[in-house]
Amino acid sequence: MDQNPILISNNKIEIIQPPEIVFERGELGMILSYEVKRPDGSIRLQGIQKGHSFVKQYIQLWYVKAAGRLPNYPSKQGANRYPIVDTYGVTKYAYDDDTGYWGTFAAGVGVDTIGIVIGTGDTTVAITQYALTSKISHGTGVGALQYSVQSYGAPSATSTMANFVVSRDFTNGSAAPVVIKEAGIYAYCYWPGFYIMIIRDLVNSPAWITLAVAETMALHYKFQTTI
Amino acid sequence: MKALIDLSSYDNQGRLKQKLYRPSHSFLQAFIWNLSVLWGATAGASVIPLSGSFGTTLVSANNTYPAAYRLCSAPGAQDNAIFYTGSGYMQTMMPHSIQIGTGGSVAPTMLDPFLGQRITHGTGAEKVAGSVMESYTTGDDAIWSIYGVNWGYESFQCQETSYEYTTDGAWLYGYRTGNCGNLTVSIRDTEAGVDRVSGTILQADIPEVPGWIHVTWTTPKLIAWETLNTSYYLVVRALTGDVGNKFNWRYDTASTLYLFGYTGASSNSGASWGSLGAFTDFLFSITGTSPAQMEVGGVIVQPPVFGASDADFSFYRIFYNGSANDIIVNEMGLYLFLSSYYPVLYLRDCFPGSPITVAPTEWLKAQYTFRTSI
Repeated sequence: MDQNPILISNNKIEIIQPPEIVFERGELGMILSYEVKRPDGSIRLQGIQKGHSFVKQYIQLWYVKAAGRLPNYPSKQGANRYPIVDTYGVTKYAYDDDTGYWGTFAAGVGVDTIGIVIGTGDTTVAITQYALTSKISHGTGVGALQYSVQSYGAPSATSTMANFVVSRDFTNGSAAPVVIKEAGIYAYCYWPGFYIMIIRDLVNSPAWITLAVAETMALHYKFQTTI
Repeated sequence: MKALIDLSSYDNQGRLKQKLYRPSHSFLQAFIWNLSVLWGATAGASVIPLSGSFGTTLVSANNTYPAAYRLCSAPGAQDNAIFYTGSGYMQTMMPHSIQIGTGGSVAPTMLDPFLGQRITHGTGAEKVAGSVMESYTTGDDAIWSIYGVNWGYESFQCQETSYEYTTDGAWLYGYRTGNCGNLTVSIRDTEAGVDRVSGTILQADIPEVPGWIHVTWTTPKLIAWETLNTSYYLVVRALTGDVGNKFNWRYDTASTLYLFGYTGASSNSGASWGSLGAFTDFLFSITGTSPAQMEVGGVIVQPPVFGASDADFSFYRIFYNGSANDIIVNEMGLYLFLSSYYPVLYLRDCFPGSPITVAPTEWLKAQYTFRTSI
């Protein structure tokens, strides 16, 4: 596995070398990283791993947009629409739209249907998965976490590399620890309007991440390409 | 996610001649920039700075033109003509979707805004060094005297007939009075901007009666089609001249034939410019080189294919060599339009060590596959 805590601070400090994350030349790569913070803001755990898994719906989304399936075609049904399974397991029929955003996953506070999402499922990632195995809901009840607004770092580039980072915080406002095992990204398909999962990864497998009461985990996806 | 490139050339009997199949090496900055916007980073307002062919900031693109991400005519699409690739009839000529070129000897960099030298749509022959790309050469009936702080320019555009060429020089029509000194000639992309290419004409080469004089740029430079109606400025000055020693650039006070430019005159060394009048044009030519053209077909997107651990979809385009020249293709790229007419380059791959030669009447299939694997 790629995950590897680089700093553990629990009465002592132990530094572990982070794994070397290697991208193939020309690959659109993902780096998944996280920090767990105590209520006082100090970091208790952090880690970094390669994100592996754009899943089937990402390619389907690209295809629908690239193919230019227009809503004003004489027939809006059948061949001019393309079936994609949404995050609820329901087959929706998508087509391109002139006015809508494509695959956005900007997410506000408390919204757990879009953006970076996390879960408790440890099922091995498969290309056909359309949702996290067991998504953690927003809230303060048992097993829930509080979802923050999602933030975007400004993209940056050198002559050989370009990247940007998307981040989201999850706070345990419940009365019991929550174990986080999976993360993913849910995006919005504008027309006719539904959510699809485009990325899923297991996080810090097999140790997982236990988020104690009142702790916050910041999870980051960095998207990077090199030439 | 990875992109794969697949180029195959065929003879006029449909027999495979050459094939290049390998991973793409080069998702560029524009791709990452655009993903950040697509995926929600200040959607609708984010600026994507990219460099124009002359190194200027060109594009302020956002996500308000999602139709731009169309790359093709879909199989069975009912309102897409064969050459319709996204948003208009011009797009076979515009840099959109899959494009190929002959400029692959210069390796890609993350900031590349264009292919090194794109092959444009048509059947035109290769244009060798010194070929005229833009010009206005008749009807002169007046002069503008250039000396000291008194400068002049003729603007021009990169037209459909001369899309994407490497300019190597220019011609001016005029004469000198006295000893005007050497002329400095340049091309700018804004009136008061910096020189993007420049060269010098020696006084000794300037006649004392009206005639054509030539300047060769120190470094030839690509002029790429950037957006509709982008103007460039051919700027002329005689810095050591004075009122009795000047260069007289001939112009037409009633030009109605050249629709893609106009005159400019400055009396403060180019800090500000005015016109010599409506329908005025200096006599000039822009010269350069460009490869032979190929007839550019529509782009076909093929439905996704799913394996046990991967998913992909492919799209391809046919380029037919209707010219009389062998064409040596050594680069390939993928353009998108981020707002109505601003092309940006997502991918650029160069293969100077394994070029594909397409002879007259032969054709080339250029394909991308976007693939994700777990």
